[in-house]
Amino acid sequence: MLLQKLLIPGVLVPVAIAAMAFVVAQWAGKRAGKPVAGGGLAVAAAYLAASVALTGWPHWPPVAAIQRLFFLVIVAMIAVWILGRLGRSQSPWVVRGLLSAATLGLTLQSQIKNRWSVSEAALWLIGLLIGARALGWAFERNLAAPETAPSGRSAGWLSAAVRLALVGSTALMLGLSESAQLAQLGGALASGMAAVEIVALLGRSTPWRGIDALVPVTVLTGLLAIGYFYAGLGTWPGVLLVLSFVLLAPANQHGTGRILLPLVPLVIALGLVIVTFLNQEDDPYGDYSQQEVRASQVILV
Amino acid sequence: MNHLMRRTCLFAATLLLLALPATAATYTIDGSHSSAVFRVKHFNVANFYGTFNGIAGTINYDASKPAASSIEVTIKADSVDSRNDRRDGHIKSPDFLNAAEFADITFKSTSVKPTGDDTFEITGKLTLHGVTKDLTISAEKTGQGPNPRNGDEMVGFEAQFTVDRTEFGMNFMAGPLSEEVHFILALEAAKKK
Repeated sequence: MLLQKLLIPGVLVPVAIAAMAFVVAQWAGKRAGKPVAGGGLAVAAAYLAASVALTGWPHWPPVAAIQRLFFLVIVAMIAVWILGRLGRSQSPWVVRGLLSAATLGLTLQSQIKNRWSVSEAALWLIGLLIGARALGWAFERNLAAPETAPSGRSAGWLSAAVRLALVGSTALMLGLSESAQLAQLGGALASGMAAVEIVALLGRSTPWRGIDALVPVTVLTGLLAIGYFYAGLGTWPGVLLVLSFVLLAPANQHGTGRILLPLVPLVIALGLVIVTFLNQEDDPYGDYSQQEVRASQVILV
Repeated sequence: MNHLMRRTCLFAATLLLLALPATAATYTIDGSHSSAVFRVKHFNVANFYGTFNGIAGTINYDASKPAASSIEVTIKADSVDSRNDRRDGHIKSPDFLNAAEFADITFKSTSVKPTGDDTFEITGKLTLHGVTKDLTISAEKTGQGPNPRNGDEMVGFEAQFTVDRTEFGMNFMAGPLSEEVHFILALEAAKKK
């Protein structure tokens, strides 16, 4: 029952919403005679629905970083829709930069107000903005690239699998760090993206354009910032995770080895988080059978 | 004889002064002798208790005019102690208290209404998880007197109240872990010199 409570809002709801929203966006695009990828809108709808199912309706004005991220995703969604209507396939750098800066500034508002001096805040935000834009740049190129590799074979499935592995692992690492809720929100992003990929594969349609990256990049930037500053995601796992996103390669420009390269820092980051997790004190949520074993060991000693 | 009379009068006047009700005084909460205990129901089976160790604040208490009294308490969210480091980390995370983002849990009274000799109904604003809500709590004065070690005037109060954590934006695992969280706040405070 507990698993259902976590699985339905974190996985099933975003899968269903993303699949439906993607189909509707494609249908509307065809009807209007405009090429609409729709992946960004579908993932935004999935994330927002999962967020409400998991954390309830956000407070207005938002008080917590997770709530501010909810409204930032709405802004990203509106930007994708407007840019799509304008026929843009790539978002202007001003939009990307402003959205990344707003995501960092608003999710880290408590740090800026209560913990950092002005110079500390400036240094942190500049550094984080560079990291966020590097992640965004690689993600946008990866999403927008045609799926044919230099060899002529379709490498789209491999590129999509690596991308999903990165997003899914982000969710896992957030969960192992401290916050199950952040992990569920990351899982909702991964589930929504997976649903879009599968529906696009079945319908032989294009799931993403460059503008669609605004949504997942906003969610990832926000979740990683919240995870690092408020939920104990370690420095090295965080840096390696961002590096793995930065190493994402467009499938049409590189061979298999280069497409798989992001998995190297990812595996190291996952290893670090898992080792830290295993070295922690006994799990207070452990199941009763484990606790019985421990109790019997104590009695035997 | 006159001298004796004068001394007797002085002694009587001193006794009278001591017997008079104290005027409003500011007491500083002694965190090391105060307790903030919380209780949640785990999986709808058993009550689980934890504490917060970082308690500070002030009490303005006037025994002759209790309605003029006031209280401000600040509890450090990252001082939560559930006797398990991993669980403490989880309670401090964004799933529950979000202690890195919302460092303080505060209660500031807006009115104090005496309900008995040593009992009060205190209305104030509770800020928890970044959300502020009006709250009325029942409190009891548990004692008052000098500190046997240094003679400082001390006063003690205990209050109990229940909040619905979902009203403060803490929805994680609502149901399996009760929405209702019961608090017991036992404060010892010493008069500021």
